[in-house]
Amino acid sequence: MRDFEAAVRRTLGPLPLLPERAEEIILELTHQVEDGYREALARGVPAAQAEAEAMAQLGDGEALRRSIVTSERGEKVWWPHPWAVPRAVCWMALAMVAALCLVPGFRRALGESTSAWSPDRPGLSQRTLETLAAKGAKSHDAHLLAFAALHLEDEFEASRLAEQAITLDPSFTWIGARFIAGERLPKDARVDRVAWARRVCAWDPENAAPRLLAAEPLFHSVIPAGAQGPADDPQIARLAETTSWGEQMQAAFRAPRYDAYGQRRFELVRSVAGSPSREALVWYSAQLGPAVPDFLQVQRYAALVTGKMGPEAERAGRYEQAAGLYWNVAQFGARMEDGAEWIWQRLPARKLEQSAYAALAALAERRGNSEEGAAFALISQRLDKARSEAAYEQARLLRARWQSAGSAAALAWFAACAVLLAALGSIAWAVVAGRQRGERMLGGWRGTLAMGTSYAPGLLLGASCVLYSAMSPYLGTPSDLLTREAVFEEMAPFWFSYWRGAWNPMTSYWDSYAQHMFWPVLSSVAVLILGTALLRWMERQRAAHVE
Amino acid sequence: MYNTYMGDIVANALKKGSLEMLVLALLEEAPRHGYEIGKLIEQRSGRTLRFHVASLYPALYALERRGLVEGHWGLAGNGRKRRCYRLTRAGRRALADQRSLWRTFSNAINRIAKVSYA
Repeated sequence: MRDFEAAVRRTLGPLPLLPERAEEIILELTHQVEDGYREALARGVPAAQAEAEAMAQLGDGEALRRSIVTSERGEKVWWPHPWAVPRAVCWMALAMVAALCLVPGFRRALGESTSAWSPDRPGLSQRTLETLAAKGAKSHDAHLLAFAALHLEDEFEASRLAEQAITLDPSFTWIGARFIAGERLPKDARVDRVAWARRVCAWDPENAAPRLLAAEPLFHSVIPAGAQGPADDPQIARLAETTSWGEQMQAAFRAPRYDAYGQRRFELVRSVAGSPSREALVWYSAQLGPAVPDFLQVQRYAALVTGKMGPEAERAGRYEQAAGLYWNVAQFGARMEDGAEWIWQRLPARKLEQSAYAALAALAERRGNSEEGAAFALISQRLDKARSEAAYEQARLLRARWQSAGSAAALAWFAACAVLLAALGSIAWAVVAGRQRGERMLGGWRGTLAMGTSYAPGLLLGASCVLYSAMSPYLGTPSDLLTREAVFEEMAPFWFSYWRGAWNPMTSYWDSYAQHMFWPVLSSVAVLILGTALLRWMERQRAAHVE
Repeated sequence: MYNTYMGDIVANALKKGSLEMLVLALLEEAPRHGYEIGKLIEQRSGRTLRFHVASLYPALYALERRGLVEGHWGLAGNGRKRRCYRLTRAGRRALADQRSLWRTFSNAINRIAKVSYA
C-alpha cells in the first residue's frame, strides 16, 4: 500500500497549528484516506485507481488546509491567500525600493515632491536670512551678507548689511541698486537713495540700468507706477523740460551697456540658496534682479523722443539732430535687448528698436533718400515680424511647458501620496505578517490587514518608479543650470504648478492644495472601498465553492 | 438553468446548516470516527447527503473547539487505532436545541409550502 501519510502531508502542506495538533490531524486524515482505499479495493477497484479515489477525497489541499485552520482557530484565515502577493515578491519589491533610495536623484525627487506639503513658501524665511547675515558677519562672508541684503524685507537693515558686504568685497556694489528705486520692496525713509544711486553709477558708469533707476523717483512723482495713459502725455514733456529727468534719461539712453545685474544676482542666489534647496533657487530666480528699471519710464521717454523731440527737430530743419535722437533710441533698444534677463524684457526692447527704425525710415524718405529709407523700413519690418514670431513661439512654448509640468506635478503628487501610503502599508505588513514566524497563516483583522498590505510593497515600487520618472526632468543640480533663464524656463513651470495649482495658475495658495489632493484622496478612498468589497466577495465565493 | 442554480444554492445552504446537527445526532448513538460519520450520513440519507472531507473534518474540529464533542484516540472495530469522537454534555444540550429549532423551522416551512408526507 502506498505511503498515504506522506501523501497527506504533501497535499496539506505545513499546518500553522501546535505541532502535536497538526500531527493528530494528519494522522486522522491519513486514516480517512486509508479507509477509502480499502473500501475501493473491496469494491473490486484496481489498486492504482483505488489510490487515486482515496486521495481525491481530500480535494483541493489548499482549500482543505484553510478550512481546517479556520475551524481550529474559529476565525477566517486571510493570509496567505491565493490572491495575496507572495512573500518573496514583497521582499524583492522592498529590496528594489531600498536600492532606488541609494540613487541621489530619487532621494531628491522624494524629498522635493513632498516639500510642497509645507505651508511655507520655498523662499528662505526672514529669520533664516537674519541668521545667514549673522553668520556672514561673523565669518566675514561677503556672499552671505550680500544675499541677506538683497532679500531682507527690513530695508534699513538690508542697507547696513550691503555696506558690510561691499566693504568686504567692492564687486558687490551692484546690490546697492536695490536701494535706488525701492519700488518693489518696502521702503524705509532712513535709506539714502540718492547716495546709493551715486555710488552704484560711479562704480558702474557705463551701465544704463542704475541711471534709469536713479531717474525713476522724478518720473513717478508725475506718473504713478503701473499707470496707464497716452504715450504722448503732455506731463512727460513738461517733466523733461522742467526737471533733470530728461537729462538723466538721455544719459541712460547713451550709456554703452545695459545690465540689470540679473546674472550676478543669479550667481549669488545659486551659491547661497541653491545648494540647500533647488526650490529656493527657482523661487529666487523667478524674481527680477535688483536693478530692473520700470519699463513704463523707458517707453514714455522713447515715445517722447520719437513722437515729439525728433519731429520738432525735423520741423526746425535739424535733420541730423533728429536722426541722432532716433538712432540713440534704436541703439538703446538693441543694448537693452542684449542685457535683458528674459524674453519678456527682450521683446519690448525690440519694440523700441523697431519704432526708432520706423522713425528713421520716415525721416530718410522725407529727405528724399529713398534707398536709405527703404533699408530702415525693411529693418523695422523685420524687427516687428521677428518680435511677433518670438512672442508667439515663446507663448506657445511656455504654455506647452506649463501643461506638461502641471501634469508631471499632479502625477508626482499622486505618486508621492502612493509612496507614503504604501510605505506605511509595508511597515504594517512587515509588523503584522513578517514577524509571524511560527504561524504563517493569519486570520481575523491581522489576516485582513496582511492580505491588503501584501500589495503595498509592489505599489511602493511602482509609485517610486512613477515618481522618479515624473520628476526626472526637474532634478538638475544648481551646477547644471548656468543662467537664470535656464532655471526659469526648465524648472519654474514645474515648481509654479506646485505652488499655484496645476490646472489653474490663478488659484489661491490653499485652493491649490485642495486641487492637488482632491483626486488622489478620492481615488485612494475609492480603491480602499472597492478593494475591501472585492476581498469580501472573493472570500464568500471561495467559501461557497469549498462547501 | 435558474431552477438548477437556485436548487444548488438551497441544497448547499441546507447541507451546510444541517451538518452540525447530523454529526451530533450520530454521536449521540455512539462514539464514532470521522470516516464512519461520513459513511453513515451517506447511507442513512439514501445517498442524498454526502459531505466532502474538506467540510466534515473542519466541522468536527469546530465542534471540538466549542466543546460540543470530545476527540480521543481509541481502537476501532478492526483493531486499528482511530481518533473517535463522543458527545459531551454541552453537545447533548446543543443537539436538543438544534432539534427543537429544526422542528420549528421545518413545521413553519411545511405550513407555508403545504408540504404533506405521503
